[in-house]
Formats: sequence, C-alpha cells, structure tokens
Amino acid sequence: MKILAFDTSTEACVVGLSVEGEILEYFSLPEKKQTQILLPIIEDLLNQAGLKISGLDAIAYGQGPGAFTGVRLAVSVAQGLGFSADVPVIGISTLAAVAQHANTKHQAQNVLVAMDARMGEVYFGAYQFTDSGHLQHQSEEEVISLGYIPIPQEGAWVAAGTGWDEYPDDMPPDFSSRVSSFIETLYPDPASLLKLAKATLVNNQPIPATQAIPVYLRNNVVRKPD
Amino acid sequence: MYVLGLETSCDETGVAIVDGDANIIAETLDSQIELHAQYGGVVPELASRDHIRKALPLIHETLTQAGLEASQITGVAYTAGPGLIGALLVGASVGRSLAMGWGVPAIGVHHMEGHLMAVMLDDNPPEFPFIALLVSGGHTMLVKVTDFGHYKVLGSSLDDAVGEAFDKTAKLMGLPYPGGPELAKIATQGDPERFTFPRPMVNRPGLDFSFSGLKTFAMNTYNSVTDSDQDKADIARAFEESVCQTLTIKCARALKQEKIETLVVAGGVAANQRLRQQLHELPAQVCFPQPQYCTDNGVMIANAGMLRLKAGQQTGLEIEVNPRWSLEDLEVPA
Ligand SMILES: Nc1ncnc2c1ncn2[C@@H]1O[C@H](COP(=O)(O)OP(=O)(O)OP(=O)(O)O)[C@@H](O)[C@H]1O
Repeated sequence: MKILAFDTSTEACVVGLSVEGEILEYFSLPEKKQTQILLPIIEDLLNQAGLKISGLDAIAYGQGPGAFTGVRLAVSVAQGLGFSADVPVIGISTLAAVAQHANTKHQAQNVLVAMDARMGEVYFGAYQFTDSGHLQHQSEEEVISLGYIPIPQEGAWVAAGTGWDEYPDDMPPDFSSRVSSFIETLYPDPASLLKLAKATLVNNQPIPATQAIPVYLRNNVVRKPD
Repeated sequence: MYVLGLETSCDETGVAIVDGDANIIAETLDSQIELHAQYGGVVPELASRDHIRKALPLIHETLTQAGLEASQITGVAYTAGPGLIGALLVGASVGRSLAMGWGVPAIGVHHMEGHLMAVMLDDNPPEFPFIALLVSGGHTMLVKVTDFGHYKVLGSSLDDAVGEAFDKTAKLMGLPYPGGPELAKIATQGDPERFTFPRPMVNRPGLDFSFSGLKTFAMNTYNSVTDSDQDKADIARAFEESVCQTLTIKCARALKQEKIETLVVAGGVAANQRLRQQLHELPAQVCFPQPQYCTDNGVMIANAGMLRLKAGQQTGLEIEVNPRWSLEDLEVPA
C-alpha cells in the first residue's frame, strides 16, 4: 500500500509517506508558516519515493480538532491533491494520532488526550489500544473544560497532549487517583498518522476528496446579535 | 489553454474556466449572503468554514459544466489577496494543491486586478489606456491602467469604502443586510430636494475619497427625523446623490488630469443605477463589466490568472496569501 499522510492541526508540520511498509517521514515545529512548507515537503517525499499523487492508494489528512486554520490547511490540501488524481482520502483525528503516538512510544494502552482549545477549554478524547498497538476503542471527542473531563473509571490511564499543563487550577478532581502517568507526547507523528490511516483503509471505505471536511468540535464561533 | 479560477476572498465562492482568449467556458458561484445576514455583516470564521465545504464541489461542477477532462486544464488561478485571510487560505490551498496534482502552473491573483480586468471579458473590450474606478465593499480607488499589469493608483478612500458607507448607512436606518442595494432601492422613492448632504473632499485637490463623515451626517440627519419610510427614502436619496456626485467629480478630474478618454467602472457598487447615469454623462467612453462580473466571481479570477500565466508568471509550491496587498506591489509583466 502507498499512503501519504499529513497533519497541521497543531504547531507541528507532520508528513509521512508509506510505500509498501517503508516509511519516509518529516516532522518539525517550523519557524516558517506551515502553508509555506507543506506542499514542498510532500513533493520532496514523493520524489524520494519516485511516486506521483496518482500512484497513491490513499491520502490521509489530520481532520482536527485543533487550530482552525491549520485544520483547514490539511483538509484543503487533501481535497486538492485527492481530487486532482482521483485518489480517495481518509480523515484522521488529530487527538487519536496523539494517542497513537503515546502508545507507540511509551506502550501506553489507555490514553487520555487533552489539547489546548483556548478559552478555558481543551479538546478531549479517551483511546484504548490492543496489546499489538491497534486502536480498539475511543470515546466521543469533545471540547470541554479540563475540570469536567470524564475520566473512565475502569483501567489505568495515561495522560498526553498539550492541554493538561494549560489550566493547572482546573484539573479534574479525580485526575491524580485515576491517571498513573503523564506523557509529554504533544504532537501527532508521521508513523502514527500512517498507522491509523492503514487501519481505516483495511476496515472502512475511504471517501472521495469532495467529502473531506474539517472536524472543529467547537462550533459556537459567533454570538448572534440580540 | 484552459485556466480554472477560484475566488474565495470574502463571502462568495466562485469557480470558472476561461480559455486563452478570455472566453468563458463554465462558471459557478455560491453566495454566503444568507449565512452572514443574521449577523449583519460577514463573520470571517463562518466564511472560511463555508468556503471549504463549497469550493471542491463547485470545481467538480464547473468541470462537468465545461465538458472538460481535468487533464485539459492548463493552469489554476486563485485569489491570493486582498481579502479575509482565512477565506483566502482555503482557496489558495485547494487551488495550489490541485495545480500540483495536475502538474500544471498555478498563479495567485490580485482580487482587484480581477475586478479591473473583468471588463476585458466583454465582446468589445475597451482599449488601453483607461481610468478605472473600483468601487466595492472593501475598496474605493481610481487607477490609471496603461496596459495589463501596469497600474498606478491615483487616489483611494482614506476611510470607509463606498460599498461599506452604503452598507453602514443602510444599517443605521434599519435596512436589511446587505444594505447597499436596499438603500439604492428606497432612494428611488426619495425627495431629492429635502436634504442636502456634503460632497466630501471635492473642494480639495487630489483624487482621494472620504466617506465616513457622510455616514455620520446621515446618522445625525436620521436622528433628527421621525423615522417614517419617507424620511428614510429622503435620506437615502440625499446620501446616494452625494456619493454619486463625489465619485463623478473625481472621475472627471482623473480623466482630465491624465488626459485619458476611457473610464472603466468595476466592483459591486458599479451596479448602482444612479451612479451609472451620472458617469454616462461624462465626456468619455464609459464601460461597465456585465453586472454579474461587477460583484465577486470566479470568472474575473480565471481571466486575470490566464493573463498572468500567458505573461509567463507562476507561483511556487508555497501557499501564500496577502490579506493587504496593494495593487501597486503587483509584479509588472515582462
Ligand atoms: N445598487 C447598489 N448601490 C450601492 N451599493 C451597492 C449596490 N449593489 C451592491 N452594492 C454594494 O457593493 C458591495 C459589494 O460589492 P463586491 O462584491 O464587489 O465587494 P466586496 O466583496 O464586499 O469587496 P471587495 O471586492 O473589495 O473585496 C456591498 O457593499 C454592496 O452594498
């Protein structure tokens, strides 16, 4: 399988290309804007692999949640590239990618991910992995005050993501009793995106590029005038 | 040559395909007016969210309408500025990626160059040089156009754009959004003799404009009357008259100063009937693009992009937009 994956929902610029199991990857916290480097990096990885867009089986994009403009960058690039060569696309949750990263790197089986959503809130999801590191179950993702995070009662949980440090006065009351450790895996990484993308490709139909849309979670972005 | 153009700078998603002779092959347009109407103005985040849902389906529809295979498209143009940054980024990202995937050149287009060159889509386009009056919701400018890509801004608004002044004045009288056309509609019922509004800046030399004082004048007048439909119509009439006369006086001045005999009017406010009447009385050849190409649309972007690509320009793989891009910073074609 040949899959291109990228995520720009966080400060990081994350790109991975998997060609029959071999992975070419790029990760940086760029000084330049993500918009300036994303396409050149994609082209560079494709060139290294001697591939064209049309040679891909799927394009996976970080669908969010995260910074609105960053989420839209990944989605619109997936739309453009996917549509140009009729390659189907796969939306990957940025939170799930962070959880997968925590699993791969630290063998964490139960991962709570909280990423800062500003305005006193975080984007949150709970993820459980099999012994072999495959995402098995996940909670519904939501935007919520840190203090109200529903930590599941069963199992030993590990916390990951940028959200936990952000609101120290608003930690969930049962945090210290339910959470065994804290991992500073802050960002999605190329391998995790590709792993989740592969699983989706095996289990579900990818979608046509015209159906790629962002997942913002926060939808009350304006107040109506009285 | 077939160029696909994509416009997403504000609250319209527009897509079009033109050929190398500026023939329009296909076009689609989606307006977000209803989406923003309940807020009384464009909400940038909502605009971006809508563009990203509409752009690609519209591109698909436009290609189908054109009866073209994607492989026949030889270039992609998208609005790179000026405009709302989030909205611009959606169009630029989709457009740039499409071009990369298709392996064709891409070009980031200046929205105002799109407006300026829209008149070239006419069957009998005017000849260079001409003076262009650009009047839209975001801009008010007098530009000397000596050739494609050769622009000199002779004057612009120091505060509100004309369309903005129309919209704000309409809003303060409680007219529905977007107020400009509504205000123009009720102005036809107004008594031209009842109020006289100032003609801002006409006694000063130069070609700059200022419309915010006029809006304040309208507000004070409105606060001094009873708020009947007739009162509103009379104020609308006086406001419109003042704006149209001011614009006409400045156009006359620009034509004379530059010794040019052709005036091109573009932008959403060019739809205003009273303005058209007055400008047609000028001793010059006065041209308006077709009404549907006065307001934002994909055709004008495809057209300007086609001209730029023909001139040998293209944009690299960096997705770049410029929300405040001056017309005078545009690259001059070789
Ligand atoms: N008949 C009319 N009389 C006066 N103003 C009008 C009329 N019709 C449209 N307008 C005004 O034109 C503006 C819309 O024009 P257009 O779509 O060209 O501009 P925009 O997208 O707001 O700005 P820009 O093109 O500068 O980014 C609005 O302000 C609207 O009120």
